[in-house]
Amino acid sequence: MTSDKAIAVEKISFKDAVEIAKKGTHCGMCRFDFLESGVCPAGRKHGFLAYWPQGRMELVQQLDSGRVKPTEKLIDIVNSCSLCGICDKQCNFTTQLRPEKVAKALKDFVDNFDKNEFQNVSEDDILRGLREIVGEEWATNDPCIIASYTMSILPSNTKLNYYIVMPENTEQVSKIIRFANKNNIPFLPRSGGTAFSAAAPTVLAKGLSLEQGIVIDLYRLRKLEIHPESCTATVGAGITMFELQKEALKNKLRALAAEAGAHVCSNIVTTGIISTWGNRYGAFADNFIDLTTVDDEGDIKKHSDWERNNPYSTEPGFTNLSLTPHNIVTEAVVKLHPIFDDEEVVLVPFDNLRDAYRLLIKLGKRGVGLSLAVLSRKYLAEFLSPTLQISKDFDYVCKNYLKLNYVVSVICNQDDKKIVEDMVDYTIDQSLMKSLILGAPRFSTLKDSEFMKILSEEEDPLNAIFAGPMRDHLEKALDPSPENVSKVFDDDLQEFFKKVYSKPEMTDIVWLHAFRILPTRMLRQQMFMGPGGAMWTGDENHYLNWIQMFSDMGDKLNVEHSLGFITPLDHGKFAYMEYDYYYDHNDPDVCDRISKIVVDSMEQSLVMGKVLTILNYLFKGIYRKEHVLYPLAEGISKEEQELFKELLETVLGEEL
Amino acid sequence: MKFLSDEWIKTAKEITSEKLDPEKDLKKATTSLINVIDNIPPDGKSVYFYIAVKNGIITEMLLDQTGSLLEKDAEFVVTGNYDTFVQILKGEMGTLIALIKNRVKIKGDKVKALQFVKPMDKLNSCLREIETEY
Repeated sequence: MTSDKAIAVEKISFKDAVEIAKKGTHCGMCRFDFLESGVCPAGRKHGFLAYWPQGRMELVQQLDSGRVKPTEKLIDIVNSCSLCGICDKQCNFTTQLRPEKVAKALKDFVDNFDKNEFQNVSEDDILRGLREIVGEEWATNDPCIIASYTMSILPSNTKLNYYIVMPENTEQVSKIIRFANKNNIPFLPRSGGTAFSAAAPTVLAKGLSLEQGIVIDLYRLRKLEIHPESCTATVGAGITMFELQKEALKNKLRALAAEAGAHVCSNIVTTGIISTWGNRYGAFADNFIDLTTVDDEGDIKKHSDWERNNPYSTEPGFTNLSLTPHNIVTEAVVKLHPIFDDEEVVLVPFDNLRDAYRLLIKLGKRGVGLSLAVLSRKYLAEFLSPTLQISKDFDYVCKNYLKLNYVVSVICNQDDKKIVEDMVDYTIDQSLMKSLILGAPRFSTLKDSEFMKILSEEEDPLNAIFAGPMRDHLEKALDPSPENVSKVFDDDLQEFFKKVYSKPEMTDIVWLHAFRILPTRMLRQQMFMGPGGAMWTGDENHYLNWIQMFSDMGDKLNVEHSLGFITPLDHGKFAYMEYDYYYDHNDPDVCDRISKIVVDSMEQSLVMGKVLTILNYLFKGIYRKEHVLYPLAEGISKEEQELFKELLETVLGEEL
Repeated sequence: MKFLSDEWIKTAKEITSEKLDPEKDLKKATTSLINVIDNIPPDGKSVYFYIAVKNGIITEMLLDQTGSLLEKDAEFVVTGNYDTFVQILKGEMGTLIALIKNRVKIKGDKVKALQFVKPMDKLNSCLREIETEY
């Protein structure tokens, strides 16, 4: 059944649809309602990725490549889509893509496909066994559904020798694992899949993905209960950070949250929730009261079981590498934190990293602020700009005219705001940030402004623009309004985006920091890989040299790069840093260079010492930070370096 | 011949002693390990496969289903599913990949274990030459 709206969807060729699909980011933002536009009804009903816009985009690519042949299920997949347009609104906000066009092209493809050519799929014993556990509807070996999981848990170069199963509770997860073990079949849980998608085109894919076996898609574990009296929430593995944050906010509480689309439980497991709020709210096991886990034997355990072995410790050292989780966390009881009435954002602009870093660590050690980070110019431009081109121009203006290269971003109450303001000469406040969001298109046009060129010749352009009367002129010149910002979107979406940008939260920096719906905009430039990790902050030069190492590596290998963010941990004694490399994930040459950066930067970080690299960070989130970050890692010896190289060569060798 | 049968072990001893160079392939290593192979079809039992190496020469290769080999106090105990060991032996998955994907668990000094990964891969390549029925 096709709605009237469907007729209006612009028809494009299958080849054009493939080109759109290739830009798909697997960010998962189409799987929750972050714009109050609703959420894909087909995806919500059927669950499997192929029924979501994200999965349809991947499926189109896989059909085009010939890796998968149409099955009868494909008819059901395309018929489930009413071309309602929700996905276009969501996807356009973050990546400017139009997944609905892809869905329409897929419908046309199926309509024109010879029905006699559909591939038959039969049920085997394994599928029967899985269906006995979860029900007929929630387990499949259909290649079209399997193919939609490519690049978000499955590599692109394997046979589609998989089963996808969607349990609805912990007991079913346990039964699936026991069943898999009994039949000697490997398995891997899937939540949001975004972490894998960033690494999928690189050398890390081999270690992170499932080469065959059972994908346990955890989306159906959707329990979400807020307990205001204890400031906690019980969260199932299918719940995203956005969904948790939204419910918490109704109770004037806040969760420590990663990106909006990250699933809470899997994010706890993967990295212990890396967030700019970590210095105040905690890291690793600080974030939860209790976890329900299923181990690789299928045994269900709770962290709170008093008779169990210590679940909070992990072995130290660089050899403690794991690219898949030791346990599946099916449910977490997470901590929530009070929201204060007088919270506000203060941003301190800097032209150089050393001064920004120094202020950040000082604030971190003093315990000032709730959310605390150095954000790069690139981050600021990407987050605030509604389109990629505007972000590039925004970045240009900041770099060349304002010398605004970093900001220390502080979310704090009024007491802390005063402390920050006393420490610096000038700040950017909520009002100016709102104007920059609603006036981003106009701001980007300053690229051609003669006045800005003159301003850039000032000794301290930042001081000139932010400390004096110029600030008000700038704010006025931006002509900020929801109407103006919405004009940069496609004609048919402008009215919708005018309403979106009219909502107070869309220009509320505190809300945006907590709900983190903007970071996905970094993906519209294709993909990024963000190595880094946590380093001891006791030696400023050591820390800054570490960042410089990542920068040099990007220059050497000719990959676009930029510092992402730095945020303190454990009262400023450590700081997490993400350094981002931007690349076209369809270009094998640049993917190879990214792989080299991942490996070489890890090796050099280990040699430098006092660092927990991102690869060592992975899958340590359920342990205490005291066990993960301490003892402080010394630089590895020459002998260990050789061993490390050999290790990587053995694991990843031929592909480097 | 059937994987992990007496005949297979006998052939494994012969072929490794014939084809592996103690210095070049096994790096004059001295160590011992027990592979605990779980979930062996059809009944899901476990098998313990003990290997001792001295100065790059394989001195012992033993098989047991009771767990008594654990008393030998090997330097490393590597535990995993039958299918994983088959994948490793067939060369479909490296030992280290199996380790970082949590397909096998290792007890013992990890830094030291890493030094033996390459020799063990040589050993596995050699065992691959046996026509094995899994």
